[in-house]
Amino acid sequence: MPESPRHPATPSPRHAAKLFVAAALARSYARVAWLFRSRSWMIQETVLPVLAVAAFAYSYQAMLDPRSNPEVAAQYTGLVVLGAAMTTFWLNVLWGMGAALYWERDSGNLELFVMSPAPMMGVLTGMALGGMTTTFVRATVIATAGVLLFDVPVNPTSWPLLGLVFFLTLTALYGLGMMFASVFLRWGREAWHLVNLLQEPVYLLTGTNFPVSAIFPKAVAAAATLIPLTAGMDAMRQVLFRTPGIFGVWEEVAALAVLSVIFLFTARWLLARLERRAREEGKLTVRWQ
Amino acid sequence: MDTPAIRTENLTRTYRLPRRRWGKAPAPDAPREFTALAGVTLDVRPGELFGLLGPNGAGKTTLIKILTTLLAPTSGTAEVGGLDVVSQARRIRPFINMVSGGESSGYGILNVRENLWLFARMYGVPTALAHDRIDSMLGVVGLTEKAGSRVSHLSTGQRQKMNFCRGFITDPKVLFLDEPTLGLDVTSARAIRGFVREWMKQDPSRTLLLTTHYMAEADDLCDRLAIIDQGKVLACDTPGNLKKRVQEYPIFELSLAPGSGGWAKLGDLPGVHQSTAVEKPESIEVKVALFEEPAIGAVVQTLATNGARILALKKVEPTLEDVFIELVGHGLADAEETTAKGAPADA
Amino acid sequence: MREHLRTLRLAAWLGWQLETNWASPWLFAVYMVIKPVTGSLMLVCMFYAARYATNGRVPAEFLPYLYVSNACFGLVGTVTFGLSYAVVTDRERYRMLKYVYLSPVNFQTYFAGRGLARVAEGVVGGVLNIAVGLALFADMRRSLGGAGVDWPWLLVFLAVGVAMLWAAGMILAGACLNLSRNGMFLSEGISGVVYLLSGVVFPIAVLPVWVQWIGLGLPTTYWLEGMRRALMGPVPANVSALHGPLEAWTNADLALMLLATTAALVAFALWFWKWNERRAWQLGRLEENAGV
Repeated sequence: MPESPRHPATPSPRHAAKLFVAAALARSYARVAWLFRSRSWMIQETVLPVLAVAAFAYSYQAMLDPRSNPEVAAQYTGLVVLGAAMTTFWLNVLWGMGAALYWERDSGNLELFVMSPAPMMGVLTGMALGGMTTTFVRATVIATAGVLLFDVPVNPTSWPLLGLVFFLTLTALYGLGMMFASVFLRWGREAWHLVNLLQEPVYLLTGTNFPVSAIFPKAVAAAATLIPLTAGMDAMRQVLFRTPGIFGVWEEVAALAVLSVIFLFTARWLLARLERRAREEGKLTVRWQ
Repeated sequence: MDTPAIRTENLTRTYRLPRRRWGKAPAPDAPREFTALAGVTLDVRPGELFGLLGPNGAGKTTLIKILTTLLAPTSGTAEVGGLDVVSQARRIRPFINMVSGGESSGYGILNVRENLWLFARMYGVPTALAHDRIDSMLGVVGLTEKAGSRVSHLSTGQRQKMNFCRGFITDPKVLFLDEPTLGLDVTSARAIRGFVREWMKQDPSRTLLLTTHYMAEADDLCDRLAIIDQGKVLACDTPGNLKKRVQEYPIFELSLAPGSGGWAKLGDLPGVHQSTAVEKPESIEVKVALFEEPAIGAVVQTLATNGARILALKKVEPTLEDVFIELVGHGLADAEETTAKGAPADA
Repeated sequence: MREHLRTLRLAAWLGWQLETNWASPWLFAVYMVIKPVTGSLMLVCMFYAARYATNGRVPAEFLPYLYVSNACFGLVGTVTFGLSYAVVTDRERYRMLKYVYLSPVNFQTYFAGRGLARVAEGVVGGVLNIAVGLALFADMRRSLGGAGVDWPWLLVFLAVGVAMLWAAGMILAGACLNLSRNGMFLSEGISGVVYLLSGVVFPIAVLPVWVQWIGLGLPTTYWLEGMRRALMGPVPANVSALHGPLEAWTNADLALMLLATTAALVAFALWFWKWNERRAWQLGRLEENAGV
């Protein structure tokens, strides 16, 4: 115990870092294993979303009449495909991260994680890494299918820039997911419903299927960039389809970098604070709320 | 003097009762809070196998949740290994673990070995060592053949055994076992009890806090026991000392052949504190409480001289269940008091 | 019969309790409005984005078409997802599915009751959604106010629609009996496919011809066309972009076809549910708990 030689008084930073990595990799293992072991996901999570995406693509084709406006129709169809691929990450952030601790509690695993010496940020990072991996596969399938089915032109101004925007978007998004997870730790079924509630408003604000800058007033569009998906998709559309954006690409890259840092630090702070509150209120182990 | 492995002082935990959402408002005099623990003070020494006995809702699980850093106390203090569960929770976690018997945790998509490995890594146990320990623990609970089976394909009992293994593979210094054998078959429960005893012997610095509904299990395993009800500790002692409490006088039960005489006079004998008898068609059941054990000779002699035929004679040994009912089930004890003062309720 | 009615009432009550008691009534009301309305607003934004890109050449009739279709389709999503969710949560979260199964209540009636709570939620959500659309957009007011609501046909399409929704919900819930927790998202995927094939946000004439034929095999296609006509009247003859293969059909034709396809769907749903129930029983999946 602390004063006795049996238990070190405080773990060294090296030991803490090793435990963080061990926890993250261990937790991500369960998610990646699911990718290989769940047989239904390929149809359920790729083919079906592609068909759903097609509905919006056809909606634009009905409205834009590709025979009269071929370029605009191709560009807007591209927006829909990109939106669908990126939205899978948003859905994963909401359901795989935001509501994750809630599921973990219901499965009886949350108390085991909290009780262990592993930092909860490590556990959340593991969920994020696992979620990103599985969702990346899903998003790639959707994007590829969309591009091939609707003949979307893929000709970015710069591949590295596209990669940078994508990486920063995911970092900020999953940072936001960690924040959600912390907040929802204290909630029961409300968390599930709030996650469900956030889905459509975010589709709207981020401009999943339309260019935000063409519809929303500048102030609203600028405020919407606080959701990393908005800034990320806007920048990616500028790089991929050369559409006018809310801000310039590099400004949006900077915004995403700042958001990533803010979300990750806030998540860490919130997690510690809300875990304490949840312990006080006895909500870490209450199931079936 | 050693730092206690577990120490609580005046530990209290209350829960706020839910407020109105839809439908009727609660009655104005309805309580706003529920007290799960009301000033619990306990000391568990290092190396001790300490038991908690109590009826459902007594506060045992709440106490374990507080000690495993999952729940904050409302007031009072709780320490594990000399560390405060509120302010030093992070330093406690590396050397504790918990097994909750009635619950099934784990990831259905992973197999048994992977689940155990995952939780071992949360404690920083190196992978090779984790696998060694997993092999050894799976052998203990007879789950070796299921190591590669997905948890979603396991039976409830098998999941419980996996959960039991999870508690030990991190080699905790303080282990909390909450109803570890609940619902397990007799052979598995016995194997687990044997392992727990052995595990404690292997390292005298290990401490184990056990809650169980099985009195025999508690009697068999625990060095000391606390009986808890409605959030309060009613008694805390060794099983032997607790049993002595409920039996002030030695008690003997005699079964006499029908038509036997002399039993009505037993209460007047000098060494007899109290005597009761129940006449049945096939026998007369007599119960005598003695001031001193040797007085049984006078009892037998009196019966023999009065022509009674003794079919059976046995000394009544109190059990932990008697202690439990005496302390917790007051109604039952009260009902039995009319038969023989000091006799166990269901003896 | 009385047993079925009692089960239906009990299950509907349970469904309503589980749906509503997590929040205060006003928060629940906000929840009922925000989700469907923002979904419709996204389509509105797509409409204005298309207008922006074509300098206003997209016909104004597209807006009420998209809005009303989507509001009606919300019911499909709510009921099908709701029933799948009921199966998954009863099994994995509340761990009650096996107890319902072994009780004397009819398993299908129980889930029909759970679906009723969702139908109530979906209808209220749809009405509120259309009300918001009317309040916000003049094009909506012109379309819904122009011809006036055809109440008798609306009731016909709603009544047959409830049977159709129940059957669709039971098919997906039946599939969920044999799928893991993620199975409940299957209903979202399937409802996405139906969203495409039934021409919710475009006239099905835009689809390749062979896909149109699949769409015409689905009761939802006739139901949506019927609901749009009952609420807004037929598409004006000069807006050819919104014309589809059902243009020449009368309301009675639509209702008959809806009835026929719904009857086929109900028959399939009854068989499919039984098949899945038996399979789940054989494979021991009624109490499977496979968290990921």
